[in-house]
Amino acid sequence: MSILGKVAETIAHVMPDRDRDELTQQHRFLGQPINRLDGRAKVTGAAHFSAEYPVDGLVHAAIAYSTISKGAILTIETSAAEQTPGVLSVITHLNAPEMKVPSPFSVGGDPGSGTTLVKILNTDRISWNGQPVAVVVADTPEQAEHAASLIECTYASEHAINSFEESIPHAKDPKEVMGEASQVKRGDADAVFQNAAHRVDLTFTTPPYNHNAIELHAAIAVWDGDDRLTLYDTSQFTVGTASGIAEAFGLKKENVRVLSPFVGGGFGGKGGLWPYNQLCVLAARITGRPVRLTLTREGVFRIVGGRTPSQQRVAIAAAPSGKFSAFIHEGVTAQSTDNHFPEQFSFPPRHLYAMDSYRIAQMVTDVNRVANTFMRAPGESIGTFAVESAIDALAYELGLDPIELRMRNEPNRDPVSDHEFSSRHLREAYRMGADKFGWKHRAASVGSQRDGDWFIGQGVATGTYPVYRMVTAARVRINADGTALVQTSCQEMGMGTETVQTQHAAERLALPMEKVKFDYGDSTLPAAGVAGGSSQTVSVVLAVHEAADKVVKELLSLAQKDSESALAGARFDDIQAVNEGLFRKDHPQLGQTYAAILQRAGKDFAEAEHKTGAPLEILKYSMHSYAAQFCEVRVHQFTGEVRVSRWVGAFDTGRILNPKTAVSQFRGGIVMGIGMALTEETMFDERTGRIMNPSLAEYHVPVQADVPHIDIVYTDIADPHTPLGAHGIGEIGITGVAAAIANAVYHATGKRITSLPITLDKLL
Amino acid sequence: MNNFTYLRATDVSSAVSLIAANSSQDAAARFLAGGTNLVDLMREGVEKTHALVDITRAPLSDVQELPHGGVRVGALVRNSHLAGHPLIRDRYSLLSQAILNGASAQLRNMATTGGNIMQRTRCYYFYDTASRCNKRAAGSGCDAIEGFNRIHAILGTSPHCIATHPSDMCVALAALDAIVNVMGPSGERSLPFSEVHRLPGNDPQMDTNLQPGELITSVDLPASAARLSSVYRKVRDRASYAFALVSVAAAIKIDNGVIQEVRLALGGVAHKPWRATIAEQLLRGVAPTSENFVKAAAAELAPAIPRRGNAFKPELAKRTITSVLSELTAKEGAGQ
Amino acid sequence: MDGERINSCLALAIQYEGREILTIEGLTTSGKLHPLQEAFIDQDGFQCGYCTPGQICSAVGMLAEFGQGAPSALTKDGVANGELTEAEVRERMSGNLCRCGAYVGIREAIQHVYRRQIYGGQAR
Repeated sequence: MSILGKVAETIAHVMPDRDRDELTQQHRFLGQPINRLDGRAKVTGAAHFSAEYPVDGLVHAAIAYSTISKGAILTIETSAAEQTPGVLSVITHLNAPEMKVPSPFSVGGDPGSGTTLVKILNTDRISWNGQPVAVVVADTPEQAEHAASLIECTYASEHAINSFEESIPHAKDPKEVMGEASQVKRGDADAVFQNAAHRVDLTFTTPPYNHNAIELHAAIAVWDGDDRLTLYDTSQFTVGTASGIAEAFGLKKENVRVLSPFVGGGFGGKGGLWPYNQLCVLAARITGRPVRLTLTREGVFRIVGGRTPSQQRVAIAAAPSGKFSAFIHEGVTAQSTDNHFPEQFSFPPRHLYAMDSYRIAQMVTDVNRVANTFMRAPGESIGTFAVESAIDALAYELGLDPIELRMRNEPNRDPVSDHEFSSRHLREAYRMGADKFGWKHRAASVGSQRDGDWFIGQGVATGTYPVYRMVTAARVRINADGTALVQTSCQEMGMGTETVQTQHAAERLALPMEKVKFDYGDSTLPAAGVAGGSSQTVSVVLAVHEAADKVVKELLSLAQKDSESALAGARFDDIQAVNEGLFRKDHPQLGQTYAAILQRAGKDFAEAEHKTGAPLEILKYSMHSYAAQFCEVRVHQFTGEVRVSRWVGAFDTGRILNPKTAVSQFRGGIVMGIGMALTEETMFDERTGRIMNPSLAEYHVPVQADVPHIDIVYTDIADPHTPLGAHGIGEIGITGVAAAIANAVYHATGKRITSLPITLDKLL
Repeated sequence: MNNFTYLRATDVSSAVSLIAANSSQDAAARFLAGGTNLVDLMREGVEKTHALVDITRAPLSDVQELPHGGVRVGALVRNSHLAGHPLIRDRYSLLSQAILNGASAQLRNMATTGGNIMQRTRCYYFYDTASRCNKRAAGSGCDAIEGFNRIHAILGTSPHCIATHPSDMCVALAALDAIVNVMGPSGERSLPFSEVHRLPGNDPQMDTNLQPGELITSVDLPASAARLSSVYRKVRDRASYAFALVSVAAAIKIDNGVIQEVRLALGGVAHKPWRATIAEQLLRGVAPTSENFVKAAAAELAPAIPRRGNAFKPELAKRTITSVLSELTAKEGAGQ
Repeated sequence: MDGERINSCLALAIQYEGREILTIEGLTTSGKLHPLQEAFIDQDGFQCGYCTPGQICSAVGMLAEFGQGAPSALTKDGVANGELTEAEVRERMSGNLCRCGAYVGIREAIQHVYRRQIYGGQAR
């Protein structure tokens, strides 16, 4: 950890915890399965996504992509494109004005969201197969796409590292991974492992993946003069997008407005700045027209990065009792030559198990391809595949039930940091899940269950994901008519933001939900962090809580000035929000409604804005969510086809704020995990570094028929150290899934598959 | 997608004339029916035709009984209608099953019999205009042979092309000995199904033996193939909405403990739907035992040339054939 | 398209001149939601909402097809459609991808409407 990090950690340890939020126990709205407030808009097609805003005079842009992975453009022939009917402009590195490369993605300080250091369209250098080499603007999208296809480049191609496998020998230590040390160790795990009687040593590989949100990345750029810009975009981080675009074009941040209320799926692929919106803004600047740029699905694959591949080794030694005497988890991921993102696959064991000795380390290599980025549960999804498969193998080696083996290694404190856990009830989750699944009926021996031509097996695995909180600002206004307005720049990409935030604000202010309006998706609103790390809900909740407290204090002071107010002399701790107003705790009939306070004070509204502090609690406590994933698979005895037949996900993720939307999120993560385990893989041709399956026809995401019934149970135990006792739940669902499936496949067939996806050829 | 001229024909002969009038040596106009393959190829820049002749209003949508038995299917009958047609479900259930295993409901509602026969390969390098592909551009090379070839052919390949024909319907039509009726500038003719699609050989740019400007008008299903006990089994990487890695269409008639008649065709293994004639020959007249199935399947797949990415296919094909034949035998035995 | 579900991305508009096209906007009548739209909200058959118009239109088409006896890959030879089972819904709706993974909610919404159609008024 850096010096700054160590100082922050020390401060965190001496700072008192936040006061326990009394709303944690309330359940008028919170904890209720309330239907999504944006439901009607979504089921009627009224919800507008970024490409769907009607703008007068709109023209369309399309991108031409490089077809080599490393080298330089020698010539670029654009005359055919320029002469195509409807074409207004063809922009290449030869005529594009200089743009600044947006600062790399970061969540602290000035929000950066750049994903690559490549000078898009401002260089003749090619750094990846798919890099934009031109933008064409035309009257219709078809004209623009067609003209872009007529652009021809000749290249001076250079030797490139196009294959992850080829790059592994050149792996290097990144020193730091997501703020933690790249390597942690205790004792001499390798020596202990060498001499152990019971051990497993397995190597796992995971392929590259792509998010493939159904909504294609698209933006509409509308300039107002030379220095003001409105950008309709699909972004998990409107403030970051605004900041990056402002930087690229030398604009003042406050003059860039990014609107993104509805995002058609993000999963991490819309959190950073990918070239399409920068090129859209450029096209609008050059043509003087509002421009819409919608990537084709191929375009998304070419210029929006996905998950890195990985190779991981997990070697565990245990005493006959099952206690881990040595735990080794090491491996490599890839990044591009122009970004730095070692995906944190080695995090799970650092926080999951008690280990006598351990060596946990990760390396990273550079490959000539599009920059990798975060994709649902970066690190934990691929790391749990390796760790939880290895533990399963060890369970057989020891003759122990796989759940029992894990429970015997439950730590009391964080195994690496020695911090107290803020909230850990994995045992309870396993108990609930095992009960719901009927785990005790599972046959002990491998390959013993059949149904006609199908082998049947059951598997289990632990999932985990850290609790993150982003610094977030929110504004709360209470109007004289007794309604409230809550505003922040945050996102909706399926988690039900408007619904849960309205539930919270209504609960906090004791208003009916219909009287609360939640405004979001606009970078000019108080700044929220990236909707990533499953952090948005609690980050916004805290900001709204603290802003609401400020407004209440202001209303209270307004009431003090009114000699007839029943709140005269009351202090903040003496009152509570109830019945659409403020009333004394000791005499609940004494108080005033918000409307009354404001009307008597002759004011139209009271408002406060608040920006939350840094998440020091994360430095003080070990804060994580947990999952116990149970699945049953069927494997065809002749063809090796693997089908998942049922699922139980048991979650320990703090207090559940809305069971209806939460269950959907958990299920959604599990479904993506099924794809990760069985069907998905991005195919980079190792000769050219080119993605050869840039379509949903050949990149197989799970379909309806792949998904069995998924039962969800959860502990619903509040975390005392998080807002409302809640945790984020967007990513925990995918963790542990691939291992549960691989473990079930082993149970069904006796074959342990250590490379993903588990396709039938691996089982023939 | 490039600019194109859109023309309409309301009958077969004007469709054929319009195509002829709008085509030259280097630039062919194309018939447009459901568009599920052609429009996709145009949007991907693989198909660059300058003219489309929309034939959907031509009277080719009937399914009718033929005088000497058998059924004639109009080229414009949509896949979903064909699969659900009572005559087909009753007499040629293999065809119905095969169609229903293909694509998605929406695509089956749009795709036509003729279009399904004419659909092109799904090879990744065929679709990628930056890759070398002898089918897309004769003589340019084949990037699939040393590249990603999981979905590619193992039988009947050539050093120039290892593409597969992706249709499910066609595998059944091959097994059923369908006849394809076409109309062209030189008049009408009929082709046995096995002669419609080609092997790649030295001319992989040609998918079929149809002459330029010829239009499929109907497909005849022979009476001799009617009411056979049959199974269509498709093996793919996800449970639905994906092309076959390997598929098997099989029909069998067992009498006195001996295979009287057997029809076996494979999908996902070749440039054309593959009629397994070697296996059929070994199976006729022998007992329907597992041992005989394995022997026949092995013989059929013996000439297979697998590549790095599809090395599993010969084994998968053999096992699927054996499994299907066993299933059929049990079905026959149970009098179904 | 004339009551049958199709993929609009492959449909050249000019080909469909004179045909009746129903999109998601046409399912709401006089401000009242179609039962499927209501069911999708109640059963949480969506998350981001991007695939939702397609899912609902496809479900409308699918229920009509099923009602008319159209078979699927799961239908046994010569057997008429019986109940709309979960397996049948899964197969028949597999042409609509959902990356948010709302599949379970989607089929619960569809089966909810189907059962009300069949058993009338009995919401389960």
